[in-house]
Amino acid sequence: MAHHHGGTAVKVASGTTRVALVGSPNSGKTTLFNALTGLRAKTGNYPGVTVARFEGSVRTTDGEIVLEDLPGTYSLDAISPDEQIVTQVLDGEDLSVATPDAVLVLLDATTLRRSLGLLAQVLQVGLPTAVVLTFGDELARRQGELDVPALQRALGVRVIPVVAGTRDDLGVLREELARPDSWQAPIVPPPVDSTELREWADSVLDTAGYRLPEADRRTARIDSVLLHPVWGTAVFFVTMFAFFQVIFTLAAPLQDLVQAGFDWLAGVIADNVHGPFGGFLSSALIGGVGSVLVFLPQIVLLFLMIAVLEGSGYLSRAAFLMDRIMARAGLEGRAFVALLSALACAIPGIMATRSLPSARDRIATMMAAPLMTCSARLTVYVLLVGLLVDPSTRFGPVGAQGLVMFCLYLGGALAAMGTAWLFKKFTGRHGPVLPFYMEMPSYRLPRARSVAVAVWDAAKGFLSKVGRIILVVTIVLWLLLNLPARGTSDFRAAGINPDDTTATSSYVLDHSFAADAGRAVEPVFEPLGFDWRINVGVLASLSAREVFVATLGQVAAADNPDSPTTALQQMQTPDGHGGERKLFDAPTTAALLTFFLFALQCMSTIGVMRRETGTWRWPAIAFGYMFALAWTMAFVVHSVVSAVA
Amino acid sequence: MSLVSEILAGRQLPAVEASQADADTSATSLAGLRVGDEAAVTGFAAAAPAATTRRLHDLGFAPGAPISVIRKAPLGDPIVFRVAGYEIALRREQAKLIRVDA
Amino acid sequence: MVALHPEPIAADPRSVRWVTGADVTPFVGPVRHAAPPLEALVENGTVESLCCESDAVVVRLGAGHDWRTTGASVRSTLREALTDPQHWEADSADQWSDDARLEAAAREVIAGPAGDYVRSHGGQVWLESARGGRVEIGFAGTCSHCPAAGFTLQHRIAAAIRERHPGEIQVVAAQLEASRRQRWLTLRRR
Repeated sequence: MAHHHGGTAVKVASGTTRVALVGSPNSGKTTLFNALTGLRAKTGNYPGVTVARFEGSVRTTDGEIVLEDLPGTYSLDAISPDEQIVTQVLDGEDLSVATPDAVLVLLDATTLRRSLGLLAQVLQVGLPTAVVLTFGDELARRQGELDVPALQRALGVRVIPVVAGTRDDLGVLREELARPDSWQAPIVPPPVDSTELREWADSVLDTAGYRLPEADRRTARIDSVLLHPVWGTAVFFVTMFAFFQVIFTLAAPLQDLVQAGFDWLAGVIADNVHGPFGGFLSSALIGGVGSVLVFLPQIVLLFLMIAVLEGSGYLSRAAFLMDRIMARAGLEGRAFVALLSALACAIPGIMATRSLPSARDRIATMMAAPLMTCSARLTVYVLLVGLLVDPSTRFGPVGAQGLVMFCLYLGGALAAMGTAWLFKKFTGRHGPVLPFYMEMPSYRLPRARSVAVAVWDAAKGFLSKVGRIILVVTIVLWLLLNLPARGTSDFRAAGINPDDTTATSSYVLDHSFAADAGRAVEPVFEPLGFDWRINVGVLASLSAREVFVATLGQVAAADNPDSPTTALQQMQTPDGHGGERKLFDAPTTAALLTFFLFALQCMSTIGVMRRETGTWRWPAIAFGYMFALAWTMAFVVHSVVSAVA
Repeated sequence: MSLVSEILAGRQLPAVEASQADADTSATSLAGLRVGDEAAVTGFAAAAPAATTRRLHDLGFAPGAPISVIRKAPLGDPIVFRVAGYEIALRREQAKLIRVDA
Repeated sequence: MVALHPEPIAADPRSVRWVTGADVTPFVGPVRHAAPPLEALVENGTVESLCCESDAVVVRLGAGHDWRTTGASVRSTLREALTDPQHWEADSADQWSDDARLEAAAREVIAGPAGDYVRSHGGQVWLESARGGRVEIGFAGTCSHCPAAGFTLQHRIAAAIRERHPGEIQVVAAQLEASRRQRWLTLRRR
């Protein structure tokens, strides 16, 4: 390995020292990265693959360096794409990714024996290395012992103890990070052979006076309840149910506040800016963006809860409890985490499948994830459930709206499981069966900073999505709905009083480009009870589901600019027997809900699927099967509800 | 593939054949233990895929390592083991591959 | 099974202390002949010299060899040789005695981190004698009036000696002879 050390192949930013952060999952790596880089981290992708790359600059006592947070791994003997990246980054001969100047290895003091195995592998690479020792406080609490200076002597590399989050420790670390060139590779790299490695670890731990921490009694006590066959299962379902209740009840007043703010803004603009441009500003821009922004409180709450569940260690327990059930769908407990993330948005859900070592599991989970009820569907559901069920209807203590909502979530989850099972069954029966394993970390109080960063990232992602896709689509749609432009002469020709704004709006909409498109696809959706106005929304929602809400809002505003919701409820459509019916009657609304439950109405999801699988095949299959499923199920629901009503 | 991962992928771990009597009962594997039992790893089933055994090894299931069974999931699978000072869940399928001296 | 790990020696990059833990090295002091596989490395010039400590073997490489390339083979060879203590030869028979081992352990401790601790607090520490399972440690400087001296002796020095030399041993502070104390006080007075 003599030719292998000091391996520096390609440097991305010339002149800047780059240090890579390596550690196993649950070692406090992300917490440390966030503490060191603050919110100055950049996310990107590694070339050729879609493993997320986190990089941030760290202020050291002597200038800035770039810290790269590598994916968490238990071994450099990679079995997943994420782990492969760690190996590639550290390998000086792999030119596809830049090799760092030095490596910072995170060791969890409570799992030191296992962690030394990863450290041994990193030390074999031969880059200048330093060790950060985390959870020393937990080791002490659990009556473990460790002599840090002795450990440093035995390892032959610098060891810096850090109780993540305390300023003093980080000060020492920032000092060390100022001069990674002074870090050393050990004089003799640790052995590879299993027996020799075990002896090396024994010898190092013995010299460092390491006493294994006692089994965490607090964790054991909590687990005896949370993983109890009866109580644990009960707690799991209560937790998940509470999960949904929180995003509906707690978010409502906040949403009302946002809504009120945008209504006020739209009103001010409508009063002061007259003509078509005023209409564009208040209806298209403020109305469109506002009706999506209103869901920000829910997204923040959702990610807040996921971050807390993850940071506390409960998410692993949930995966443990769910593993057997996920196994029914041919998946593993960890896929549950991906599917749970898909509840927020299919995009993080699909990206979370990278933690699954098996390619077959990844594909199956990816195909299933878009069926989980994402927050964008939520915006559609809230609108449609509001039209379908009266808010005052209650079954005992449970509101009917919440119940329908719960059924929609459950339906999405069940459909996802079924899909995963089918895909698992029919995709490549060959290929190695990779092991299932899952660390059960001690229960820890989630770090406020990590939770805040997770929520911030989610909110930022949602907002930039709103800013980019939705704003453009809203503007294009407003144009489609209002073009070709009509003048006073057009209205007179059609026998409409040009001063009657309601009548003129209706005329413009009925003769717009959007209406042409909506009418063109009418035969496809007619059996579901959709008319061309709904079709416009469905077509527009391909860019992102929440656009459906904005579009219907605009369609309704064209009918009755003063009260779009009332307009939606009162919209009429020919019933096919020469009469008129409410457009959003029970069968149509139920069919629409069903359609959105199953259909892949999201270009961003398709894009991310293309990136994750590296081919258009899987996104095409996903879009195709989901459309067929959505249409069929919506048809069934429409027929059943029509028959009952 | 990099040099280090090539070296790591070339690791050989001891394969331990189950004796005839144990072959079906999985009595000498981790899957055969009950909650509270303790044992030491002796090696891996000969039929186990090499990449799987290497990963199990890196997770702490190395020959000689003491293991205790902490709990089983409500339906008996997966199983939480304590190894190398931490807790990890394995499915029966994988636990069967790990031979112990009990 | 021999658990060992290497520790660099700052003053001499060609030497590495292979820490073995207590009671593994066959004797203490310079090695005349090691067991066959290791001796072969000495003969072909890879290894220049070997010296046993109470819990380690110091291996010095020959000129032109570096640890990164030869470390792995030295490790395996050393492991093997240490399981065969009968075939090691010392310069003198004394090196095999328990007293020699105890003395080496005490000297290493005083030269190591435990001794550093005393020196960092302005004290002086030295080995007075080590035989028959009894170690006498001499203290001077700030130690002579430090209330924690007894604690330091037992918890740092004695504990470290016992790690390198397990078994029934007694570690005590030496009773200083009057002349030595006198001389030191005189020095101080000037």
